[in-house]
Amino acid sequence: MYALLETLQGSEFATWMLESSYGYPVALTFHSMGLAIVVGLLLVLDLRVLGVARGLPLPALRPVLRLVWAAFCVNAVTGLMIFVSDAVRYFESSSFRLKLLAVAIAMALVTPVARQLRAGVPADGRLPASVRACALASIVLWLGAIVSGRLMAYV
Amino acid sequence: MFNSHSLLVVLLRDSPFGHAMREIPWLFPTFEIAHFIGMTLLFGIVGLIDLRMLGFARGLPVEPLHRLLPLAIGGFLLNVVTGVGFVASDPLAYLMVATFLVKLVLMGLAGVNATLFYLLLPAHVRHLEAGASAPRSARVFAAVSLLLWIAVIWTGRFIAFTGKSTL
Repeated sequence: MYALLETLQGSEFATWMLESSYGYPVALTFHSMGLAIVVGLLLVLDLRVLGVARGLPLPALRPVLRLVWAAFCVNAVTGLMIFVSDAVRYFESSSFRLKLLAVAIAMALVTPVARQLRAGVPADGRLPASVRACALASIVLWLGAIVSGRLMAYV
Repeated sequence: MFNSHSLLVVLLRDSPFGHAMREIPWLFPTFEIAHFIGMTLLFGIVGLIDLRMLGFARGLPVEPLHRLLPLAIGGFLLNVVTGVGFVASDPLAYLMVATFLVKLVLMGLAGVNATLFYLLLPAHVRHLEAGASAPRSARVFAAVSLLLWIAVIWTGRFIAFTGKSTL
């Protein structure tokens, strides 16, 4: 594992990331914008599932998911670019591991929320408790991802 | 433009806020985290309203989207408080950085743009039904808003690369 990490870190690409005046700043800026889109939009979807802004029809929110996935791809790519530039340190950082775990679970929770957007609001007007629990967990996990992501700069 | 004796610099640096930001070790990182959370609230909600004006997710009625605005404004206020905290911690490290000043101007422009949107456009724009298109004037305001907030995030992130704040 460490052999691979050190190869990544020693690559020409990693050197470019660290030494050019564009690589790291541009990757980090796109990562911040991707964060604002992914988390900001999922927060709106989660809040709607939890009963805020009930006037928004669930199926009409579906196009928002495409934008979330597009921004997530941007962040996967920029995140990988940043990881490669200092692979060993990130791999060993517990904040980084916690962040990856939070992001992975939060993205998995998009599936039940997306299914509910497709299905719309049931006839009795109440969304299933399981989907509401997923929306609540999603909000908590994204907050956790932001906290652990920022702490990577410190610990 | 500013030096260590400028009134604004002295007021911010020597305020209890400035002292707290420098002396309590966990405060600065906590404010950074809060600043990111404020950013997601503001950009997610305002960005979605802007995109709806531009014709994205046309099935969304606009009035219930506007009900989310208090959350976006809450995010903005959170970022004003935490942002003033960063500057108070070391005023010259921000006030002498062009990127920071550009960010302030862009935020001011975004504020003017949003105010004009609500003052100049007829109220029905805020009550567009599902499927209805926004008038061209509303689209222009929405496009300007989106570009300005993207530029605010861009310049905000670059303060760390042009100045000496945390990466």
